[in-house]
Amino acid sequence: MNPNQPIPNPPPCGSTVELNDAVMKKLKSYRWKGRALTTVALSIGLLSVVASIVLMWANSAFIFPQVQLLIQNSGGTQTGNTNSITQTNQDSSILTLSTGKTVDQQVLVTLFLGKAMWLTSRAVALLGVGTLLTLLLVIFNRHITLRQINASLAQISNQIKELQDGRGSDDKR
Amino acid sequence: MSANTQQLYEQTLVIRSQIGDELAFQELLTLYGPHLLRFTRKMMPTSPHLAEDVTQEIWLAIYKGLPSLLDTSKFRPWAFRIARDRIYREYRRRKITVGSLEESHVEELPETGGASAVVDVEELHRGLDAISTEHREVLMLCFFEELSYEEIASVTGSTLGTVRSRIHYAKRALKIALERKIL
Repeated sequence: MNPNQPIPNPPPCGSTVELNDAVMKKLKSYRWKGRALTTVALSIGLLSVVASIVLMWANSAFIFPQVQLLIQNSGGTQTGNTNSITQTNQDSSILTLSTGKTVDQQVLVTLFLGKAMWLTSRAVALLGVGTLLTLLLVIFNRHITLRQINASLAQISNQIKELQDGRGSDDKR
Repeated sequence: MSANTQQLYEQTLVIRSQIGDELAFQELLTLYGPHLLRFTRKMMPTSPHLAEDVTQEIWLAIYKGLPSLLDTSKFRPWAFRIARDRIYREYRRRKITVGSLEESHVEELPETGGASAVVDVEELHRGLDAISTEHREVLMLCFFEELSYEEIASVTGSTLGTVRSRIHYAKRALKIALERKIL
């Protein structure tokens, strides 16, 4: 045996094709896992956007009218009893609005909290929608570009293969 | 030129696989599958089923790591590097001791005259199984996979000088194994 000569290859084994199939199956399941995770992530993103919108709607539909009602009631109490106005104005928990109406501090805090929540929900919803749209745009653009590159590369590799096959048949002759 | 065309073809396959072309990856698998399987089997001669499982893991690792491969012309040594890492990881996991290098021992052995010119393939494979894992590894990469010394160095993570001397001792060890008929 000449140690500098390449060692001859072992006889081909039949399990290579089976193994390749098994590898492809494994890759397929791996890709599906990736897709499932992406779907879950996108769903969570969408859910947060929807939740923010629902929160905004709930604030506008339920909380704000209630707060408005509280302010009105508070104003009604004040107009009904002048003495109580004087008394309540001296109370630190009573505030006077720019309209001249005096309201309970707690009502005002509820109003501010509601407004803050509404604004936060709106910001989150906008942010979520913006992120999702940007993400989709990037993925879509990337997909198109890669598809174009891949088509060109596939053409090139086919041409190389044809060239190689042509050379192979020429060599045989 | 033919080798260059083949290399070019393989490079386009690698790039297409990096982009996510499933067909190209399948073709890469067809091209390199038998090589990696043979390498893994030879590195794990006592457990062929485990070798097949490890090969599947190797391909999954290749698929995952493919986008990070910058030089597509280095796919071959890169894939063998992954294969080697996975095999050694499996050794560690199963607490299989890798046959230590006995280069000094090999050096001490008397160099007999030329071995018989014709060696049976099966005999040769048994001879390979008889030598140490590290010796077998470099012989496999050098003569079966026909990697250059630089590529072998990148696969094994050693210097060029180490690769040269290791191949030298590995050839000697194989020669002795064949001559002594310890197979």
